[in-house]
Amino acid sequence: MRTQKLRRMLTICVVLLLVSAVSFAAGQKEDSPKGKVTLTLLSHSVHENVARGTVAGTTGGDIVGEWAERNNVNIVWITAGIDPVHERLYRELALKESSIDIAFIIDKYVDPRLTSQLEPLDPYLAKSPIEDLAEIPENLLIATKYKGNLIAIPYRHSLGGLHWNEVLFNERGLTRPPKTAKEIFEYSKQLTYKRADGTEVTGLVANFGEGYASIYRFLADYGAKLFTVDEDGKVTITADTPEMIQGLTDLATLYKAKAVPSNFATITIDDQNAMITTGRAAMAFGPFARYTVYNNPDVSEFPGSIKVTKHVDIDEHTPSDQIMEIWSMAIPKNSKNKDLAWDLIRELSSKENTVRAALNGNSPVRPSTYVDPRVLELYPWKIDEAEALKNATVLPAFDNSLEAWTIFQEESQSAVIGAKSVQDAVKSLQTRLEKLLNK
Amino acid sequence: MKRKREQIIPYLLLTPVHFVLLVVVGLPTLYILWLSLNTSTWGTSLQFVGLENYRQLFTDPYFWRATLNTFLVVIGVVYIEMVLGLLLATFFIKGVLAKKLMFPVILMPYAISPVVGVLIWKTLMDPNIGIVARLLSMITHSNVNYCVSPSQSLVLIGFINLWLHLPFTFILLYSGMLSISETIYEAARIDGADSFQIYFRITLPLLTQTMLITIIFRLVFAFRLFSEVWLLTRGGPIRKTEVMAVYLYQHAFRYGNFGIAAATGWLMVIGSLLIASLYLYQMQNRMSTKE
Repeated sequence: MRTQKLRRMLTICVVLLLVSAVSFAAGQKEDSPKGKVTLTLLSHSVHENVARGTVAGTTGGDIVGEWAERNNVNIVWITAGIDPVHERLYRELALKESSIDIAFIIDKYVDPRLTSQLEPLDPYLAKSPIEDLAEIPENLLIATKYKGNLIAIPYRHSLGGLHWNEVLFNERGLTRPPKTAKEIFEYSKQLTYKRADGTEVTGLVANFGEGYASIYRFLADYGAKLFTVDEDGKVTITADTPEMIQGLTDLATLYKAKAVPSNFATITIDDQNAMITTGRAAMAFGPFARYTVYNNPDVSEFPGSIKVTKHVDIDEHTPSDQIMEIWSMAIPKNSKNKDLAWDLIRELSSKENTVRAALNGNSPVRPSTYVDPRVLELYPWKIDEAEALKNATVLPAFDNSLEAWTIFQEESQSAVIGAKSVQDAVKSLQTRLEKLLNK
Repeated sequence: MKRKREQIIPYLLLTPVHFVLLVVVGLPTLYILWLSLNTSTWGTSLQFVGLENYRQLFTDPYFWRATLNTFLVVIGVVYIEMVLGLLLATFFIKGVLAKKLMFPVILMPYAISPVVGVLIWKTLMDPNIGIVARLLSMITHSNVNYCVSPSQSLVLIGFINLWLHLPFTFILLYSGMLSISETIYEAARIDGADSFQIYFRITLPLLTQTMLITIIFRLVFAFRLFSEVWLLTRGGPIRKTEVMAVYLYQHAFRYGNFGIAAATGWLMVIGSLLIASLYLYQMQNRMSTKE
């Protein structure tokens, strides 16, 4: 009796397993419509939003969808955060054959480990060129080459600007944004005050706790450079300089004066956004494109009053580096649909589609897009962004560069919060980075 | 023949479970061990280096700091949690006011996603706008700012971990207390034992097994401590609140240094097993002696 029951149970289990397997296989088949090739893209969600116009209120339309319809292609778009996108890409590149056909990569990940596994694009370019590729400035093509070969096409940049709250500036008798490093230091102190309604205002806010970028951005305004990379790829550490010491000294002074947030070492981009939109901060670092968020009446208490301009210069005569990040489109060497992937890259890179993506909220890499009347009507601040783009530079990536930035963040934090003297921190930074490079 | 078949059937039924365990736990564990004896990164093949990764770990001061932080938080949290869990369970057994209301209140943190829980505490402890941080600053007349003080950060991390997991400890200890037969207490009372004696001579000794199980679970869980640290401080300020899981994460997914990450993973497994077995052994001995 017991054996019979067990046997019956086992039979039921096997039947259920078979039914599930057959249904799964059938479902899989239905997912790939007959005759359609599947093209898989891997990117941050922002790229899908701007290429497909998925954000409500945008007017650029579905560029990828139209291309897919014309070419009878089934699009699969995988999106994730910056680190997970590259982690997934690395894993895909390690396989014999990848399911990823186009990957959007950010410059800080573009090191020899990654680029050696991407398809060189020059032969594709020779066969079917991209419309007026020469228009894209040289400084935006920096993170797209490996051993002289083009391995990616730029699609989007994230250029940092200085957002400033006109209402708070007026309350402190200031009528224009700061223009030099000395001025941003003075303005930050002057804009740290208590408003009539009791709100405590911090002069300058940035996501200093989320990595190296914002601290380095501040120091770059003083002319500080952490390293230089020559044409042969040789990296020289230039941390121990008067510019770096002056920048860190001033930042530490601002921290002591509470002119930068007291949660300096942990502050995130969400904290920053909350502070600037509620009037708890007078100035903020951040990409130009964030203008829309900061002036959105649904989330901001100061719609229309938070202006954006390019970062300050070192002094009246010396422009500072405008640091940006670049997202580019690349084809993995082990992709199965390289020709089709190239065709979509060409489509996304055309002049008209660059404008359409800009209308969907993209930060375009073609200068001509910034003077397009459709774009300017929607985003008048694009004129300032175009101006800043002329001096824009990408931080070079090299082997161990991510570890180098971690060391930079640690030592600069030590100097700012007072765990070390600025001089000691800078000396230690120089020594540790040199040791890392010689590893 | 029939008897033999009947003997085989239980093993057949157990085979899928063992197969799944072997595939999802056994083989990856062995692979990680192998990985820890090699250097590798994205897109490169493994290169055997023997114990070099372990040597690098043992000479890295950041690894030792992460290890020390992990041990401090884990030991502190687990012991305080046991004491609080015991007290709560005792109150509930003795009878607490509005028990039906208090029960879900106690369990609530366990129902909240750990990420949400950490973010709530992060806001409450924000040195600029956090109501709890401001209140503490007022009471203590000092600057309560976990963002720049590693010791304050570690205390906050431990507190959030404790807050999130206390319901788990409480529920295990409470159910353990409920399972002690009422007749034993009756017999003790007839023999003239007072409440203090009943608690220390009957309840606690009979709760030993439940306490051991609770401790081993919590030690192993606490050793994996990650989200509290990552969401609150990301290991900062100046890398002084890194724990082993954060150290592992940085090496694996930021620097792509899989050999070091795998070695760290193995040391975490060994560490948690060692600490759990040591404490269990000592505790069991102590409880047996008392009995």
